[in-house]
Formats: sequence, structure tokens, C-alpha cells
Amino acid sequence: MNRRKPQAAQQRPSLRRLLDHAHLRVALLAMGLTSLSLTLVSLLALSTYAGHNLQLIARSLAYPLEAAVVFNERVAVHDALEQICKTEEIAQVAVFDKDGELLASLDTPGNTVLNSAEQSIARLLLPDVVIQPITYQGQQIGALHLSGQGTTLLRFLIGGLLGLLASLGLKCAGCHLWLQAHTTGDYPAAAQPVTGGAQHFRRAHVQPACAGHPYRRPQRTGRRLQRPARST
Amino acid sequence: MYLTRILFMRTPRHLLCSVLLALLPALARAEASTPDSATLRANQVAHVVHGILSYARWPQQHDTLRLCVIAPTEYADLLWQNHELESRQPVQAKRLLVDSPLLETDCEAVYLGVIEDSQRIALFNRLVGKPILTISESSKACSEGSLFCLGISDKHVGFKVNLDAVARSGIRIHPNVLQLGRRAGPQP
Repeated sequence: MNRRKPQAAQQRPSLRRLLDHAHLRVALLAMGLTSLSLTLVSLLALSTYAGHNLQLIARSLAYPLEAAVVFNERVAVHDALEQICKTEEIAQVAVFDKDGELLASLDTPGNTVLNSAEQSIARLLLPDVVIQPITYQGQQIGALHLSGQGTTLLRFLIGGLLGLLASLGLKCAGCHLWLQAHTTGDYPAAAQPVTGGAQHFRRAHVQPACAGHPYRRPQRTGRRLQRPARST
Repeated sequence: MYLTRILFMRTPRHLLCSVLLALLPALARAEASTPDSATLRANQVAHVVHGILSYARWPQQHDTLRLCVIAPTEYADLLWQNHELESRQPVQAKRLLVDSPLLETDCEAVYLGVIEDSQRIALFNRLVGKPILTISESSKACSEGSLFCLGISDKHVGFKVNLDAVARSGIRIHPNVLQLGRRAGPQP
């Protein structure tokens, strides 16, 4: 490249800058991949826990509903559902008696964009409908149908992605400064024997072809070659 | 109209008549299968009574629960039949007179029908403090000492509970049932 476009030699990026860029790129890539995979894995783990939580809610809701279902008390069933829906993340809950007749049902209203996103996430990651039989004296007297809301999952996902973006930005700013401060002369110095050998070869074999060119690299290499000797 | 005319013209009339006659019993059965209001209420009352009995615990547990039916009743007909809720403890129903001395000794539960006020008050005075679960058909009886009283309507049979009488009787009732009984009787 140098031989073909000698006039561009001045603008050519230094080795340090190249290394800095490569470093930054690798670091960003590694960071992005790691955090993306971490987000995905933890989202899966979270969805498993959310599924368990949904089953737990269904089981704990079946107990207070038992008497109300035995006595066919629709208002009592509705009240129990309302009480639990106030605190838990439930999209839809319905109670049926043993003949499959609906005793009471409750939907959490929501038509916003966030709600539809929650629903689609819940459809994707949560069990569709948790069906918990309501039993009394060993007999099934009814069933509870419960479907969850993806609020926590969506919050986690948005938080994770925002965190990823923020840390990538921080990395871009901070890593650049850090690299500049800490990895100044080590790599070029370590690469010096190779570059020295290459330049020696060029001086011996190639220089006649581009004689008269103001190539100043030999002076710099000369200076840099001495540095490891001084430090030892 | 045109179609029916064609049908009548083409098919022999006696065939049509016989088909209609054959369909009659099926139609009659369809009408008979929808229970009337009294049966519906009796069914629901039996369900609620067996439900209450299944949620109650007596100081001394018995193998069978003896349910005594007292006074003329409107909806007690199905209490003699087996019910799905008595799987844990079979219920044995029998009729007794109001002044029968067997009431205190032979009954764990009493189902009280329609009765004069003075007789009812006298009966509750006899039964107060004894481990006998009283269920009344009339909803006024709760204030007079009955543990449970039913509120009966076509759609739903609810019940009220007299917590004071429950506490004095020594019978333990499941708290969920007490909570249900605290809601005001029959529902719309």
C-alpha cells in the first residue's frame, strides 16, 4: 500500500491507533454479545419463574375459592378474584363450576401499546393458560383458569436493553481514554523486532525503486528500537 | 309453503302422521327433563345443607351424621337422597316431631321447616349450648338462635350464619363458610 500510494503515508493511521480501534471493536462486540445472551438467558429464567409464580397464584387462589364454589356464591368468587388481581400480575382469570359453567371472571383492562406488548411477551414466554382444579374432599368441584401478564418480563427486557445501550456508550467513551492512557508503547515496542526486520529488508531490496522519497520511518524505528534496551 | 305443499302431495299422509306420533314421546320427555322450580330449589337446598354439614366439625366425631328434619318443610325432599358432598361422612336423615325427646340425643344436625314463632323459640331454647347444628328454612330464624338459615330463591340458595350461636354450640365451622355466611343471605 505504501509503495502504491506514497503520498498517503502521512495520513495513514498509526499502529497504536489501529490497535486501539481493534481493541475497542472487539471489546464492544464481546460486551454486546455477552449482554445480549445474558439478557436472553435471564429472560428465559425469569419466564420460567413467572410460570411457576402463576401456578403458585392459581394454587393459592384455589383454596379460598373452594367454599365459595361449593356453595355457588358468585359474588364471593368475584370478590376473591378481585382481591388477588389487585396485587398480582394477572391478565385474565375465570372460575368454572364442575359443569363447566362460568361462575365469575375478571380481565385486567388495558388497551395501550405497552399492554399489547406485555400481552405478546406473555404469549411468547408464559404458559398460555394455567388450569388449576378446585377440589373438595378429593373431588373436583370446579376449575380456575388463569393467564399471566408480562409486565415484569417486559420491564426486565426494556431495562436490560437500555442498560446494554448505556453501558456500550460508556464503554465507547471510557475505554477509549483508558486505552490511550495505558497501552501506549507496549505493543509497538513488542512488534519492533518484526517491523525492524521488515524495514531492514525493504531498505536493502526495495529502496532503490522508490529512491528520493521522503520516507521518515527509519528515524522513528531507530528511536523506538533503543527503548527496550534503555528500559532493561 | 310451496315446499310443504309438495311434501304433502308427494308423501303418503299416513307416513307423516306416524312420524309425528313417533316424535311425540321425545318432545314430552324433553319438557319433563327441565326441572320445575320446586325441584330446582330442593336440589340447591340439599346441596347447601350437605355443604354446610361437610364443613362442620363436632366435638365428638361420629361415623354417620344424623340429620333430623323437623316441622313441615318445603324444600327438604332431596335430603334423603345420597349427595356427592357426603363422601367423607354419610348423612342419615329422619323426621322427628318438634317436641320429641330424641332431638337432643339422636341428632347431630336439625333441619327446621316452617313452624310457629313460639314453638321455634321454645325449640331453640332447648337446643342452645348443645352441639347440634341447626339449619332453618326461614331467614328470620337466625336472630332467634339457629346456627344457619337459608335464603331461598329460584336462582340461588344462600345462607346466613349466626356467629354467636355457632360459638355457643361448640361446633367448629370452617372460617371460609363463616365468611360466606356473613354476606347478606340471598343474592339477586
